[in-house]
Amino acid sequence: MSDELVSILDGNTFVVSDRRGDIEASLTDPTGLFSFDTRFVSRWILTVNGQRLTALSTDDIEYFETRFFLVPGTGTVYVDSQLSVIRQRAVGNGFHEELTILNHEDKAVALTVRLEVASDFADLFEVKDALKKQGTYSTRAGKDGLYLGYQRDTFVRSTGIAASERAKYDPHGLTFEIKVPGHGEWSTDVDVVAAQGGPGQTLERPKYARAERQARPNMQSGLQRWLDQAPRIVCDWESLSSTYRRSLVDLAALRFSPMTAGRHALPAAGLPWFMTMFGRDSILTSLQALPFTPSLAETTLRELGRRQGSRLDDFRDEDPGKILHEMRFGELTAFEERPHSPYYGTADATPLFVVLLDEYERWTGDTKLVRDLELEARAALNWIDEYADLMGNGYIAYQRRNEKTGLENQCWKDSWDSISYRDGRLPGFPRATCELQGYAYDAKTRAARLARRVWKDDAYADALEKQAADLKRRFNRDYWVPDDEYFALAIDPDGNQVDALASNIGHLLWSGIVDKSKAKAVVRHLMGPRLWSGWGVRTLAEGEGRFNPVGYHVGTVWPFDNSFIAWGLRRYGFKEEAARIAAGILDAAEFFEGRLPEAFGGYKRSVTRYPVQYPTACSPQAWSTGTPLLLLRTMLGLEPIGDHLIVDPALPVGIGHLELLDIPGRWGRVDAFGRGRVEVHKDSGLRSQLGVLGNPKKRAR
Amino acid sequence: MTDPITTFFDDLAERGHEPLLEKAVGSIRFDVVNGKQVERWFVTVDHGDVTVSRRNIGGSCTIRVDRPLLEEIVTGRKNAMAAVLRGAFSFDGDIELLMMFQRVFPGPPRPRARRRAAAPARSRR
Repeated sequence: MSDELVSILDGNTFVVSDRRGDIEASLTDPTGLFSFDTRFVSRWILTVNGQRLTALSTDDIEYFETRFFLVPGTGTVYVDSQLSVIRQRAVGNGFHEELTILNHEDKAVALTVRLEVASDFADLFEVKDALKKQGTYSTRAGKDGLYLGYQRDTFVRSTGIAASERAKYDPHGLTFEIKVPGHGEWSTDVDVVAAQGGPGQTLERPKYARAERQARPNMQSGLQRWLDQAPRIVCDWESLSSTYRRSLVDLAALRFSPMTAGRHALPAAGLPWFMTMFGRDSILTSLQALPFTPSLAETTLRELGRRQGSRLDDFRDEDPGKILHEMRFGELTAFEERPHSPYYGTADATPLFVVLLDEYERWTGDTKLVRDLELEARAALNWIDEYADLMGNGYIAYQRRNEKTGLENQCWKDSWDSISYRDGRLPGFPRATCELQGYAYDAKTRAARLARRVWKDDAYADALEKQAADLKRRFNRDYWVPDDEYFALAIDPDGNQVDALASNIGHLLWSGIVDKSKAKAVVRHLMGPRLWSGWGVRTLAEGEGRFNPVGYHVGTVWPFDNSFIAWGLRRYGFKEEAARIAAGILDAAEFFEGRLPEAFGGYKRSVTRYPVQYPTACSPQAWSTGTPLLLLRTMLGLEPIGDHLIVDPALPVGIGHLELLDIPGRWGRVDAFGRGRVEVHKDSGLRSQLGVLGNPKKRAR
Repeated sequence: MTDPITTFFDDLAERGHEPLLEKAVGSIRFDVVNGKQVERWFVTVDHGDVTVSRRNIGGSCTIRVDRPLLEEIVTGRKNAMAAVLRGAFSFDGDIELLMMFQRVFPGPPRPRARRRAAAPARSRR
């Protein structure tokens, strides 16, 4: 999102405005009040005596609340600086704005204060496409409020605006004719309620109604409780402590509660445009956060399980047993013009669902959830064999059946050119990317453990183990590129290898599908000059036909990708290499003030000296937020074994002393300690250790 | 011409046990609105065991839907969850039961022999 915009949110309700607090939605400025993927306010402009205001400063108090300090007039010379205007805004199911005007003069002033209001009720999907709405709009300006409505058949959305002080409401806004005494102030509350109602449904009450101002402190204390429940960090390298805190706060902001989850929350994918359930993103973020906030994993598993596919539906790319890709609530989804009710176009969420279930049990010992989700886990495993093997060769492959609005690449690298041969050609469909086979192997291996331990079905466990062993044997034969000693990116529809060298081979280590004898060669590639940038592992190796250091999935460095690669390196015993990745990514985090972007440029570190951010729409992104958490786990070598937590630290020099205290799990709470001993920057010629050289973008705070 | 709604409920009753509903317990009242008339169907689920009745047995969840829309849903031509989003398929009560029950609505009719994935059980490698 542009730095010029300010956004606050609560779940999937969010307000994006300019720095004055005004909303003037246009195609280039996707501002507004959004809720459940619909824009409820597209125009919200404050004027005093007909004049727009100028922002002096904006104070982002919390992710759900912000304050704007303004003066009348525009431009550099203030027309009238005898007045100050403060807008304090908090988001609820709509938003609440406290508008205060201070008169700095001796004598009273008469003012016309106006809020101009409109709504286009655009679907989030429409905002950038400027599609023509098919329904009808209505406006009702009453004595005590302004009501904007939109209706298309039974689809009804409405916005209610009401102020605590006397105002005149008209179809385009509300006006206050006020008198502010000398050195006095005037103030009003304005409530904006976003309501979705079919026939017979009543408008919900605003969460920030005037009598309920304590709603905000509750939210504040919710955040405090969230922080208090997470493990504490003590570290010599101050940057890591602040990155950790940033991650926890951002993760709190990314919490999303589907209607069926009650008070429980799962991680949405990104803020603000992806504040919804995503199979892949919610699962991977839950995995990253497991040692810190295990409740996210539980809700993710339950809610994804509830929405597991049950039928063949080409429009939604749905199969029985499949875990969803993305859920949306807007008009286009409601009228089946988009498939997101939910959309199932992902080939990795289903095996990853089983992986998360097992990892969750290993940490928490919560066998009840494993029993509760036995049917879903079995259906997911059945999907791998019965529906995902599109080429009949025993591998998971994807090919969209919705050719109009479905996704072409149904793996995490979902852009159009992400899967290519070395010479840059793109393969046909179906495509069986390598990491999917790793996930399938891991899912079967882990499910076998659950079958034996919890479901008490040894025959099923035996069958799964046999299938997993067979898959591993075939995979190490069919995907191995013998001349260069790495695994091909995919198998194409003709059964040939899609032979580009990509970061996906790191995920294979995480899944454990790589033969021990081949691991060393894989690691040599990951840490070699073609993939390793100095900050992290590039998505695609330098020298490949489509390599571009600022190409979305073809050369950039993705923090989340690297966190799973580091986990994989630990799994195969490459502690020092895992520490190098952790050092590179956490070092980059310092440049981004603790908030890692989705991706940054794959330029060589010694050339740019700072990580070049790839422009993305969402920040924070969930799995980037989870990255420092998973890196803490890999650096400390945290591994649950039975009822114990094993700690086997391998920390980069420069981190110094690190303590992670009160790590929750089946052991209750335990502490982990480590000291930085791994030399990581010997070859980069830059700072010799973390935190030693000055940082050009040093934090202001 | 057979009525698709009657066929759907008859099939459900005939199955007796529906694996997709194994975790569901409760009963659903369907108010099927046909002009001025309201037809009622009652479905009781007990861990996958399904009984269907036209006699009032109450319900932990009520679904109210226009007959033409339900006809399209039970034949897979319209999606129930999308209908919920647009307010055309209104429900009251246990949302979990509704989420579970929608699993038994069929997918859209598929052109025959279109995709490999349509074959439910192939011989494996």
